Amino acid sequence: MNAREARPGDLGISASRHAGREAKRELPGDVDVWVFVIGEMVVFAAYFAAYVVDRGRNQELFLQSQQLLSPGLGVVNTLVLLTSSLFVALSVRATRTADARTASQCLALGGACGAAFALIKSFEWYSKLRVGLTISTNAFFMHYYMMTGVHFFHVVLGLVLLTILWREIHHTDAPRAWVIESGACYWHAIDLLWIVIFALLYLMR
Amino acid sequence: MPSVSRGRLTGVWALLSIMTIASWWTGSRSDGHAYALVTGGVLLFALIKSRLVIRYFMEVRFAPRWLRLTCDAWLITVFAMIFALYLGRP
Amino acid sequence: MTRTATVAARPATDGRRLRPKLDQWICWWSIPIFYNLFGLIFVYFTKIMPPPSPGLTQDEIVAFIRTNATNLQIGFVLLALTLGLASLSSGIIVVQMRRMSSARVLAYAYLAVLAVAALPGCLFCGFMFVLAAFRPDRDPRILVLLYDMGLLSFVGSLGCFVIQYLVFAIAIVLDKRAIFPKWLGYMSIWGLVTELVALPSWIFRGGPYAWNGAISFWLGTAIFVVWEVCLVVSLYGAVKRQPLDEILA
Repeated sequence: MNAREARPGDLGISASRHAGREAKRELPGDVDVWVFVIGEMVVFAAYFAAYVVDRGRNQELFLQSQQLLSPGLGVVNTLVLLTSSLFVALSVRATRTADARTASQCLALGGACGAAFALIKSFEWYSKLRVGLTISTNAFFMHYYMMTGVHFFHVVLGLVLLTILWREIHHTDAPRAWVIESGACYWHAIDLLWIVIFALLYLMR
Repeated sequence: MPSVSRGRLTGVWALLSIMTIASWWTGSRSDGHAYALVTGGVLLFALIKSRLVIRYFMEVRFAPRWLRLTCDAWLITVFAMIFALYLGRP
Repeated sequence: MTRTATVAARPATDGRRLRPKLDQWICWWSIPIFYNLFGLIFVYFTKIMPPPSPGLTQDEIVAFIRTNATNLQIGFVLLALTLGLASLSSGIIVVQMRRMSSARVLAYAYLAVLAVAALPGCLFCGFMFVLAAFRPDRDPRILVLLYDMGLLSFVGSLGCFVIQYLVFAIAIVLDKRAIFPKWLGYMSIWGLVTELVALPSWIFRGGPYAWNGAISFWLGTAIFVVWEVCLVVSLYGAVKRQPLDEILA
């Protein structure tokens, strides 16, 4: 076991833990959930590819259609989802230190942010639909609704999972860390995928 | 399982938020014709943000090597693919 | 030493004890057999997989039906004959799902939803094309209608499969007895999502989300194949590991 001194660049980990880290690298959550998450990431990559390929064929159309989106809402949503991820990560941390109160509070806040994301997204869709921009308007909006739609489904699934996690912390005497970690991992993956979707749909020129 | 400290997690979040705003700003610099540059910038921000989320939120930083490599491979493949498809347009 | 004494000493379940899981193994084998037949029918004979485009002109559609008429008939009559095999695969999966600690209702839901799904999932497509091939000199507009009905239902019949994947995933994830591996449950969520992204096939006549599109068809089929292979392998393991006293009880 290497006993190294903590360097200033280390992320606030105590020296003893740092030394221990080199000896045992643990998988956050469990392997099965990672298989799931990586699979989802690969599948979303296919959606991204389809989008960029279509974009290449219809550059002008995509550029013009992008002007009809509300990047402000996109930014707000991104920030909201990032915040929810922070809370979920804090919750995982609190679970490990057996701080059930903080853990469940952070989970609730994370879930609230997630719900806010869903609401803002619904409002965004509604405002687009109201001016007649539907999924069959053009190729860009097809991708827009499909990518944000599939992502939305994952957010809803994630909210269900967060609720299950919250119950795990609240209603059991010894919440299992790997359960919280697994659910958190999935939630962060959703955040990660949104980061890419945001760049592709709202910002990319 | 070592945890990233609260302070650092919040720091990462702040960095992610700043980069979100920065990439928004970059994306709106598109009145010229330097589309490739703008897109490159936007994608670079997205790549860095994604890696931060993977490493610090998903705690892949502390994960076994196969997972770290897989996640990095996904990042490189996806972003390279996006940029290549973007540049290779007819 | 009399014969009767020797006979009386044998346990009553002797015949069953020699091959106690035979019924399950027969059902298990029916799965690769059925899916190979399915591939033969849909890919080789009828050429429905990969599907011809929804963007074809009326003449092209009519030509597809008329030139393929005999193959369509052979293939889909074969499907009508052998589709019943799929019930064996449902049966064995349900037998294993009932062993799980998660609620039995999920197993029954799986059975019910697949029974419903067989018709829109592939049989309806078969009927429409066999109908078209039955009188290929029909009005072209009717042939186009049959073509649309067949292919739209084939790719767009997602609701049943969404529920199939969902109950399967829930059952596995909640199962404390680990009959199936957890990753198979999570993989079923991938399958569920591919069904959702097949939704736009009802709207689009081209592009990645049409019934022959890169996402709605190709990605969906690829994931389905992977999932099915994993299912077959996991099922093999589950049957093999099933303790004999569960069966002989």
